[in-house]
Amino acid sequence: MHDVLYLDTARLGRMSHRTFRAATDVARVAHEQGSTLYFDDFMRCGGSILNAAELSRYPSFADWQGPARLSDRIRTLAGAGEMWQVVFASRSANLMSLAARLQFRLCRKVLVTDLSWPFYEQLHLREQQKSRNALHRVEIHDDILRRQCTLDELLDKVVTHYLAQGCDGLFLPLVDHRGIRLPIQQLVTRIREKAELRFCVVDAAQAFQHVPLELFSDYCDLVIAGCHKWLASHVPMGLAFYGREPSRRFIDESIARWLKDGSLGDPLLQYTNELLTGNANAYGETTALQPLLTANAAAIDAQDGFTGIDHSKNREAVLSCIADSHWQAILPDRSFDSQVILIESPSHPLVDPRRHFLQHGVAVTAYDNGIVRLALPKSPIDSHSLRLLSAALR
Amino acid sequence: MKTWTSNPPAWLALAIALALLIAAAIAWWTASLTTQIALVTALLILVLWGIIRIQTSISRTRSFSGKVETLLEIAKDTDVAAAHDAISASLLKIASNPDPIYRPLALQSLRRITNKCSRLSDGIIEYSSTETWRVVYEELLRSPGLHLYRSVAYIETAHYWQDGPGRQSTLLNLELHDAGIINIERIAIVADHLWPANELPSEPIATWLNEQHSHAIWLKIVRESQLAGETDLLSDFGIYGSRAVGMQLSDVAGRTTKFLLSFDFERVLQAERNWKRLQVFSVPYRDVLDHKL
Repeated sequence: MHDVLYLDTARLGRMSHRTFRAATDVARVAHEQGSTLYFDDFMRCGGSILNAAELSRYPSFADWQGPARLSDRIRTLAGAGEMWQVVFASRSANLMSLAARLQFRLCRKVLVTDLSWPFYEQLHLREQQKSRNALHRVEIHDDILRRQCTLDELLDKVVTHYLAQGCDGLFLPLVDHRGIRLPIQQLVTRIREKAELRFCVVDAAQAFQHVPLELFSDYCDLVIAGCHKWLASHVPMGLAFYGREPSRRFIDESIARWLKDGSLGDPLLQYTNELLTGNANAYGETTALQPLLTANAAAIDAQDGFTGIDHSKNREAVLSCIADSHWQAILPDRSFDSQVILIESPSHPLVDPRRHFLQHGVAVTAYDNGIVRLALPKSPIDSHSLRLLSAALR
Repeated sequence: MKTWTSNPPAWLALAIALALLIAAAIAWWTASLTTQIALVTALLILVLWGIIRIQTSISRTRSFSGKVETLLEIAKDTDVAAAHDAISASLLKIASNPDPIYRPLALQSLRRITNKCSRLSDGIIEYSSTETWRVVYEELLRSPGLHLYRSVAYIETAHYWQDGPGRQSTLLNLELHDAGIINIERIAIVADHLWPANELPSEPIATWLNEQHSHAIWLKIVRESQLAGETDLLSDFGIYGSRAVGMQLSDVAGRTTKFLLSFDFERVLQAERNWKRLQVFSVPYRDVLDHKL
């Protein structure tokens, strides 16, 4: 494999440098020592309990300072206040099910849109059916991408549906898989002025470390995210954030109760809960610990790498390449912009666009309808990479 | 000598009728024309009198024909028909006892039973024992097809739902809501002396509410004084889906003393209207916890 211009972060992010070292050390220790009681102590307390020889053998372990410190780092990256809690899970799907279960305990009718990730939509639907409550789906995708509606028009449409349908809950992606960034804060503010919003769930799988989550604003009750995309951990691990005063306690207690009765069966969630509370369960399910260490390393890299890069330059450069080609960018109103650009070429449709781009050294996501997704990198795109992209677009 | 205490045997009646017929034929044969005309006139008068009697009798028993229809309707439902048979048998026994002291007492009791039956037929079932009510309450909440239970708790005393049965009912609410079997929403009307200004409601009411809140039961709360102009809303009731409405009456110790359960759809609609009105006055409990109010 050759070096590529990697524009596929929205599917699976490239592993950051520190994360690579952590993943390598985890693999090495697994090969050389297996898993002993000392490893449990290390997971609980961090690299400070290792001696100098161990640290020189596995240098990346110095980064690990226990699950509480990882929570702090992730919370900081999410822009969340101290009261916000972070939950780790082996699968973000488990957290999605948890979110839907919590939501339908409180809400009788939840408003969703056609921007939801289809798999999450299914999980949400499953919990809705179990609870016998209702869903109301609003179609906004074409309004945003094809009709270039404005922010106010979108807000008016969604709020009107919410009020007319008597909804009392929201489930929305902050950034959808096509890169549409939804103004959830403004939407929530508008809704709360006029109606009751009992529980708001935000899917930030495409948003975490892509756009600011601004959880300090307390605009939602639960946020679902992951580590393998824009955080650049590469190894999947689910994250959930909660901490809004009105809902924090019942989420806390519901998670504790459902872990106890076994109805929340995520082994990593169980394990991290044991690490934090000290209540070990010798008969719990075995879980991979590598995601915790890689997420921790990626979080440190993300904190260190915050250099205030002007992402608009990458965007302008890529849009310029597109403008010089037969491809067309599908651009929404600026209010919905993100670091994802969708392009299509109705005049020159490709059989296998993903392979075509890769043959020119560019990694992208391609959809069945000929639309190609370009997820812009955080670092500046150099001129060589831009030439690769121009060649691929030709 | 043998005597008949009831009707004579059929053969004797037939023999007498035959003898009378022969006597009448002989008399007719021997009678003059004038006598024959007189006899025919008398016979016509008799037939006319008989017809009038029969018509009168039919008009008197017209209401009975309605009762026959009722009996036929009841017979279609075997369970209700069995109850009807048992009640009828009891009524026959009561009617056959002429004791002058027993009879007025029995009639008085029958009037109470009639009233109770009438309420039952209106879809209202009354429970006066707390334990009986709790069993019915649990059966209702667990009944298939019930997905939403909306409850209004009128809390006038700190002991509200704090006794054993009340506690069990709370735990049942939490269990069923946690398991996702039903969705529970509750509006608590709290007497002002139990909810100091700018504070949470006093204990143990706050603990009772907090427990439900932490189990994600959607709670709203309103001060009793805020409903001063809407006194018809000051009641303790629960709406079971759109099927039934239950009214709870408590004593000063907060114990349930009477529970009225109505399956009348009109009453359910009225309860839903009251629920909507209460929603206007009440505020989410989580906002109270959030010190927003």
